[in-house]
Amino acid sequence: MTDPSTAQAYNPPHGEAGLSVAEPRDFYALMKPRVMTLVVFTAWAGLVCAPGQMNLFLAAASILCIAVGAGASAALNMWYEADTDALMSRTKTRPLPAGKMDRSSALGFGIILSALSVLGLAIASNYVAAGLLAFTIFFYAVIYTMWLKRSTPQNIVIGGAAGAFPPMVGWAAASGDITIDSTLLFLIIFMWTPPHFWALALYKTGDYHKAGIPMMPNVKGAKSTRLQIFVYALILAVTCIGPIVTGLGGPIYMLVALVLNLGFIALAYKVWQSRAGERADAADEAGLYDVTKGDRAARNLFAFSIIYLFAMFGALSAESLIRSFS
Amino acid sequence: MNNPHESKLDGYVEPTQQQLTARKRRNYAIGGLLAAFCILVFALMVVKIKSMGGQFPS
Repeated sequence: MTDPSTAQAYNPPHGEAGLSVAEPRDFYALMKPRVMTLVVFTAWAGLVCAPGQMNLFLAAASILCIAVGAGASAALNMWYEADTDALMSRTKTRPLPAGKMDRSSALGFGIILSALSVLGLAIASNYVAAGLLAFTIFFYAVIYTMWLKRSTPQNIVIGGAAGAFPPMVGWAAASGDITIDSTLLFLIIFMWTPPHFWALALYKTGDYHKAGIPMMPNVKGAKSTRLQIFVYALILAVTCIGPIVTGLGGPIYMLVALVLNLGFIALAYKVWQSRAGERADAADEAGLYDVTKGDRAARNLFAFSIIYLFAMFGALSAESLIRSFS
Repeated sequence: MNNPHESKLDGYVEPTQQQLTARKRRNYAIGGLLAAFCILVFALMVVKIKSMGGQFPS
């Protein structure tokens, strides 16, 4: 799917002496720290909501290992996508396309961190959690990055599973188990991912088109994507009833979920009714939240979806903490 | 005639100051992280063994 000419956009940064100029902060940037915060938070929520008690030090070490595992998969993602990242305004300043380090350094960094994070989690918690973390890294780096992302517009629907695993890993770290409740946490993020990313894709259409990545707006068109965003918002709202039925979520969760899902559906409806993603000029703004007129509905949904996920998992965690202290 | 001391490494190019500084920082970071990892694994072992009722000689 990728235009062969894209390979020329990436210039490996070999200096005259072949010695890299990459600093430790470039390796840190390779771990996508902003994405990592969401992973850490949802994993922590899974750990807190799980039944049973865990030593505080072991819990903190488990979260650290999950965070490092997320960073490892991000590094492997950047290693593989250096060519397409160089073509997108949003990603061209990343360490590889910016020419700060070579690909082999990113690959080595990703592999070493993957091994250390899985090993560390096995020691800190149990083999179930470690196995799940290993599978998550594999799913994100191989299934999503190498296969799905460049081959189907359903890439982030299926690939979204990778981002949905962290609360399950956190849950397994505390309980050593995979249950209906942990699967519900997985499902909430899984259903949240398509509207979240498609909202971004609607106002970054030009970027994805340039890189040859078959995102839904490029393949099926903006109108179809806007409708699908709304449908997924409804499915997400239905999924959020699950924790109430199983007893995982109580009154706080019920109230937060009601308000946030109404907001999510309202914003998704606005996106559906808007003309987001239909600009004649496909030039994208450089910033993640910068948009031209007409795309604001999509930008608003994208920004709200981040708050939504934090608040939903925050409510579940708060409820679980209150329950365990009372 | 070539000076044998000058041709020890054929094709060797002197690294720039920026490359040397970056390498030094990378080395410190790797060293620090390896030490942190060893301490973490040791601490985890101690906590795990204690939580399983293990005894350590005093």
